[in-house]
Formats: sequence, structure tokens, C-alpha cells
Amino acid sequence: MNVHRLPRLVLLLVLAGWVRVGSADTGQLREVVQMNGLNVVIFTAPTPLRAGEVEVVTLVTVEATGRPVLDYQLDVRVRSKQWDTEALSLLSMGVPDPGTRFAKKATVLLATPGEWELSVEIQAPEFDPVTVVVEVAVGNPHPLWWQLLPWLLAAVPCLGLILARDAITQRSRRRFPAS
Amino acid sequence: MSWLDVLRDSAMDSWNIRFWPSCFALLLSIVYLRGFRASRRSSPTRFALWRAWSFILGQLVVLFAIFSPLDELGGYLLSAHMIQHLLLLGVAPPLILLGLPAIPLLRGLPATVSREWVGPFIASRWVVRIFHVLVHPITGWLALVLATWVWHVSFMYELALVDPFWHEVEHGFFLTTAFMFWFPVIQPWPSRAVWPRAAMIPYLLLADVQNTVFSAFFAFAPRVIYPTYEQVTPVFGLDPLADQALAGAIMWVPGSLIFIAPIAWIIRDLRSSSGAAAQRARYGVQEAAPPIEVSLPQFSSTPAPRRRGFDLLRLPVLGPVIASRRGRHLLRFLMLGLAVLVVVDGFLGPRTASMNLAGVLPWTHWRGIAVILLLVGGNLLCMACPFTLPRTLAGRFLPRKLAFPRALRNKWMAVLLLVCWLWMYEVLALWDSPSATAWVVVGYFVAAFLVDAFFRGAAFCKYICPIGQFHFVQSMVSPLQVSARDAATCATCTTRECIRGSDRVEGCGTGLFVPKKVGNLDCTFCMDCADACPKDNVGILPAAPAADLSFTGWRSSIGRIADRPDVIALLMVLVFGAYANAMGMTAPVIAWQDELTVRWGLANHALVASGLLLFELALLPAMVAFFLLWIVPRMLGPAPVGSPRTGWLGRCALSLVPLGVAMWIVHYQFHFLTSWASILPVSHRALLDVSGGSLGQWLGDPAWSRACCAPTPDWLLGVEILILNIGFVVSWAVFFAHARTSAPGRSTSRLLFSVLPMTLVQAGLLFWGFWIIFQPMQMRGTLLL
Repeated sequence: MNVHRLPRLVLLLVLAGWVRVGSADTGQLREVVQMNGLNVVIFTAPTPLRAGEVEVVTLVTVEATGRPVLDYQLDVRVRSKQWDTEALSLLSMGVPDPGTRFAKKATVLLATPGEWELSVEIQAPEFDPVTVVVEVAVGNPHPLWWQLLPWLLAAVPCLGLILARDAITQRSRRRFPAS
Repeated sequence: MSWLDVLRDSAMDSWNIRFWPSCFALLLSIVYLRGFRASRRSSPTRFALWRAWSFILGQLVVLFAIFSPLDELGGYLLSAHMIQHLLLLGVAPPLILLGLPAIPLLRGLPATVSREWVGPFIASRWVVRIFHVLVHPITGWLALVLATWVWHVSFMYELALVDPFWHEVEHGFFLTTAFMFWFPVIQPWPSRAVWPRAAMIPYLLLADVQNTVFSAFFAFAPRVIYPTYEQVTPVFGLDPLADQALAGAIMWVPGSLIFIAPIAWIIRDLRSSSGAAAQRARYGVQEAAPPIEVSLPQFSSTPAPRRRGFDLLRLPVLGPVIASRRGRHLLRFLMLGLAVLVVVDGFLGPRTASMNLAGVLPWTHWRGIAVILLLVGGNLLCMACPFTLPRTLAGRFLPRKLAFPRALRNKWMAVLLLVCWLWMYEVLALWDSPSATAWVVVGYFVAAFLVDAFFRGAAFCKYICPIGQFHFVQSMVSPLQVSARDAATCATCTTRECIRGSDRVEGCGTGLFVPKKVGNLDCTFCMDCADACPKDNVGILPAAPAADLSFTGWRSSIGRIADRPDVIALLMVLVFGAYANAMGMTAPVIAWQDELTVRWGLANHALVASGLLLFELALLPAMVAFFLLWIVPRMLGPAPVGSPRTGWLGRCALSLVPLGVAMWIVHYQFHFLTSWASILPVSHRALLDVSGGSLGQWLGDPAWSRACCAPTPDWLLGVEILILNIGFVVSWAVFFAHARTSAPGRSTSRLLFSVLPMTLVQAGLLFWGFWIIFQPMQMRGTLLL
């Protein structure tokens, strides 16, 4: 073997490590289910969940071969566990995720903080439908920046103290130059 | 359900324990008790134990007043509100003042803080004058009476009832004026009385008279004074007027007792003897009370000698482990075990990062724990680094005689690798690919072995390792560093084993000479110097936090940072890298990258992400550097020490480090705090895989819902803002100190103007950080190959 090819071979091996990866992390992992011949992985974004618009992303592969399934229909139903009524159940249809082409995403509105139930239904051709129920805890919505203004400006009084200290020190140096 | 039931239920349910006041009270108690212990050692009679209990009880009363159901009930019942006010005005402040808080609080603070930061204020005539005016009996009496009356005017009271902010302002006024009022009554040591002790009797009597008038006004009012109570009090089945009369009675009887009881105490003091005897009685001293001479910390412009009390190596349990060579090897082998798990699972486990040990352990847990350890304990992470094991192995079997090439003995290669690392992380989504993570770990072991097999010392750590450079720079703000226990011992040492090594142990691999070593830069905490020192004179000792950043002189093995463009570049890349790394995960940035990728018809977002990263890591720092190089010498004159070209830039880069550290902490702690539980299902899955599923019947299926984060605690955003603010303040203070050194005679206002350009840069980074933490995190940016 030609030793000059060794670095190239190492480089190829390294690249092969990456090529092997069909990265599909599209948020925080919520559930992994093998059912009806399919492997369904469910993610949510953003991280962590806050009241407001939330993305539910699914990655579906054939359990036996690992081949990604692309042409499936994704429906997500959401229900607040505090308001235990079907009337508040909302449905969102999934669309292909432009960022991660193996996955589909559905955008749902989780209007209030608390416990919510996401019912994810996958209908793939040649496979029986798969329904996965995921329970998620949703936090308070992000406060607006002006509501945190005292926090944001907390540095200002500290700078004032540093300046006051400096002024006092300068004054004492002028009064007692020897020190 | 009777109103009593409602009241009871409400009391059970409405404890409102808030995070920040609790933290403040806890911190205050810790500082006080630390100082009290020291004060009690030197003066046990003056600092009797009951005083500490009094201080703590006073704090608990304040917390009870603002956290307990009283706070909630105060919105419904005037009587409950009056009890709350009584606690804040008449119970908590005298209890706290009886704890003689001034000296214990001062002694409880870290020496540097009390000397450098509190000392100048205490020594200032203006501050002392203002304080004397505030605690003068006339001021105190008027302040309390005014605060009580003004806040009970209908408009002001209603404002505090409907708006929590004004309610807290009201409580703040009550507490402050109550301290002013009670100060001359308690006259806590070491303060001196302005009026004779007997004058406190009419002082308290007059306060009681006004309190009586005030109470009678409530007790006998023919109508409800505050409209809100007219609406809400009936909810409890109570008559609002009866509740108002009850409130008046509470203020009248217990309120009067609060003023009358101290009169009895003062009369007892006066009867026992003259003022000196009263002093003796108060402090329980048998002989004459010592003259009231206060030894306050003296401010000095020269840094104080280091305190040598604490040494990490002499701590129980942890100390012996890290002090012994075997103990440190044990830590390294533990980390090696974790690295092996990451590699095996990375290659053989699931391809989804959040299901794989390689996707969770290094990127969520290790990073989150690392930034805190670096901040608190110095570079302990490098001490336990498993990549040093190949060096040990190589040292045993291979000659290792070559010197590292002179041209590469700088940080440029490390800077380049650090940029590559950040690029791989963002663009190739390293965090999202378990096998890539595993390759990186394997590559690290191979590189460390190859470099250290041929070259002397710790060339890999010092010149190559990007993770090591990260640790070096982050630990510059740590209060712990490896240094000599006693400088005099080093001064008489002629053999210098700490750097040359001995028969048993090699000297410092990164070429640091302990007596001349400054800070944590280039120190891997390997403790070879401690092992080699025959006089056991090396420890892990405290230093003033961030003092490392104010030092511009010559450092062992590094020289002057201001003369090292490679070190300056490293600092800048790590500061701007912190913001670039965190911003890459925010939803708007990812959406923007996706949009550009689609608009330009690109196959993936790698090109867009690379362009953004190039701007953030190279162009932006370069622009900032050129701006500072141009403007700072014009504002502050030439740098006092170091190269005229890079002298100021080195100082600027050093002062930006705290801002970078703050952003790294905010970013990594966010992931750690929201996803720490993810290790449970991932380990569960790994166990099932290893057992071939045979453990499934006992372990069941992994609970993947735990892989995800809990809802963000509401305090997290506040903490993130606080950390960024601390980073900004420290950064600003460091640069201001550099500026003061270069212009010692300049007035404060002129110096403030001179540091304005640098302040703009620092404020820019601060607001960049604020923007990032207000964005939702999207853990994506995936490259599909």
C-alpha cells in the first residue's frame, strides 16, 4: 500500500463517519415508538416549551430496514389537560420540514401554560395508521423585555458605585498625596 | 363553608416564597454568621449568642411578613395588612439591629470586597455625614411618621393594593424608615449616641402618641376609608367597618406595646447607673466597657497580601484525592471510562443524538458542569482530563526527546483549531451527530498520543488542545489557582523542582515557574509541580476573582499578554465565540439561514452558516479590534506597559473575558438545567442494548419524555440576565482599572468619558447576549448528507 495515500484514506474514513449520519434532530426528543412496522420519533421545538406556537416534528422510518418514510400524512391533535374537554382540542396538519427533509412538522398553538396532550397520528401508505400520545409540560410564555427592564438595567447602579468609589479614592489621594 | 374555613384554606395555599428575596436573605445570613463567628472569637461578651439569634429572627420576621398568607390576606382584610405593617415597622428592624450587624457583616465579607469596595465608602466623610443625618433621631422619627401617614392616605394605599410593584415600594419605605427610627433607640455598637439615652424616652413616647392618634382614626372612623375593602372584605363574611376597627385596635394595643416596652428597658438602664454602667449592663461586661473605637478596614491603593487560609488540597475528602497522584489518575480513568462509553455508543448506538450517550453526555452534561467547575474551582477539568493518559503512557515507553518546533510555540494553531471546532459544531452540527462526536473523541486520543509521544512536556495541552484553551481562559476569572503557599520558601529555593522536575516526577509540562506564575492561563492543574516540590509548598489557593485580568505584567512562560497577539486572538475568539455559539441555536437565526438557503437555491445551509460564523468569529472581532486600536490610545494615551501597538488591545481583550465567560455559562447552563434528566432514558436504552434486551422485563421501556426538558423555571431568565450583567460589570470594572492605571491623576468624570468607546463595545456584547436569551432555542440547524 502506498503510504502517501494514508492521510487521504484517514480523511475519507472520517468523512464516512459523517456521511453515515442522517441527522434528524429537530428539537427535543419526546417519544420513540415502534408500531405497525414503523419507527416513529417525535420531537418538539422550541426548547423548552413555552405557551404559544409549538412545532411538533416527526421522523418516520420503516422498522425493518431503517428506510425513511417521506410520503405520510401527519395530524396532530392537542388537548389541554386542565380544560378536560374535547371542545378545546385542536388539529394541525403536518407539512414537510424545510430544515430537515426527512421530517414533517406541524405547528400547534398551546395557548396556556400547564399539561398538554399531543396526539400524533401517522398515516403512511402500505402501513396501518399509528397514533402516539405524548404528554408535555408547557411553561409560562416568555416575558416581554420591558417587563424585565429593572433586571436589564441592574448593571447601571453597579457602575455608579464603581464610579463613586473611584471619585472617593481620587479625592482622598488628593487630600493625602503621600498615601 | 364558614369564613374561618376559607381563611384556613387560604392560609394553607397562599405561601408565596419568592426566589430573589430568599436568596438575598440567605446570603445576608451567611455573611453575617461568618462575620459573627470571627467577631465572637475576639469579643465573646459583646457578641453574645443571643444577638445572632436576634438577627436571624429579625430576618425571618421580614420573610414571614412578605411570604406568608398575611401578604395575600392583606389584599382582603385591612386587619391582616396592619399586622404585616406592624411586623415590618416595629418587630423586624429592632431585632436585626440588636444583632449588631455592622461589624459582623463587614467581617463576613471576603477581605478584598470589604477592603477594596466597602472600605472607601466607610472612610468617606460624605458617606459618613449622610449616614449620620439619616440615623439622627429627628430624621428617623420624622421619616417613620411621614412614611406611616403618607402610605395610609387613601390614594397611596389603594395604589399599593392594586399594583404589586407599589406594594413592594411601600414595604421598602417601611423597612428603611423603621431602621432609621430604631437605630438611635438600639444604638448598635460601634455607633455613638447623638442624644443622651434619657432623650429616647420622649422620642418613643411621642411616636406612641402619633400611633395612638393614627389608630383611633381607624378604630372610630364612621365609614370605610379604603374603597377596595368595601368590595372585597365581605367575601370573608366580615363587615368592612368591623375589620377596619379591628385594624385600628391592632395598631393601638400591640403597636403601643412596641413603643412602650423599650422605654421600660431604657429606664432600667438609666436606673442601674450612669451611661457607662448602662453600657456594661447592655453588653454584660463586668469591668468598664472598652472605649468605642472601631477598627474598620483601611483602604489602600496597593493590593493586600493574599490570604492563605484556604487551600483546596487541604480540604477533607476532596483534598487528599486531588493531592495524590493516584487520586488524580483515578479521576482521569473515570473520565476515560465515560469517554469510552461515548465512543462505543457514538459508533454503535442510535443515530439520533438525543437517544445516544454521545449526543447527551458531552454536549449537555459535561459542558454544563464544566463551566461551573471552571468558575468555582479553577481548571479542575484539565486535571481530570483523560487525554493526558496517553502522555503518561508515551512517557513510559517512548523517548519523548524532541522539543516542540519553535515556530509553533504559540497559540495560533490552537486558535485555528478552536475556530474549526466552532465551525464543525455549528455547520456540521457536531452536537447532533453521535458518530461525529465519537470520531472527535478518538481523534483527540490519537492526536494527544502522537504529539506527546515525540515532544517533551505538555505540548499538546499548551499549544494544540482547543478544549484546554477554553478551560485556560474561562478559569482566568476563577478565585482558585495553583500557587506557592509561602513566597519566602520559594525565595530560598535553589533547586526549582517545580519546573525542572525531580527523579520521581517531571516538572511543569507547560513551563510555568510557580513563584512567577500569575493566574490560570496555561495551567492544567496537573499538580506535577506540587508532587515535585520537596518542601510541599504548592497548593490550590484563593486569589481575588478576576485579578488575573487586571494583571498586565510579565507572566511565567507567557510573557506580557499585551505583547502576545496570538493570546489576544485566542481571548477575542473565545469571547465572540460564546455569542456566536449561542446565537446559532436561536429560532430567528435558523429561520434566516433557512430562508437564505432556499432563496439562493443551495443544497443545505452550510454555506450560509459558514458565512455567518466567519463574520462572528473573524470579521467582527477584527473590526472591534481595529476600532479599539484606533480610539483607545487617543482617549487614554499610550499603554503604560507593553507594545505600543497591541498594549491597549491586550488590556481590552483581557477585560472582555468576563463577558465571554458569562455568555458561556448562560448558554451551557440553559441546556443543562432544561435537559439534565435526559441522561436517564439514554442510559436506560444503552443498558437495554448492552444486555441485548434481556433486562427489558425488569427495566421496561425508556421514558423518553424525560429526555426532554421540563418547562423552564420562571427564575431562569432572571438568573441569565443577572449573570450577563455580572459579566458586564466585572468587564467594565477591569477596563476601568486599566484606564485608571494609565491615567492616575485624571478626574473620574473625564476618565468615564475616556472609557466610553470600550463601554460601547461591552454594552454591545451585553445587549447581544440579552437578545439571544430572549429568543426561543431551536435545537436544529441540521446538515443532511
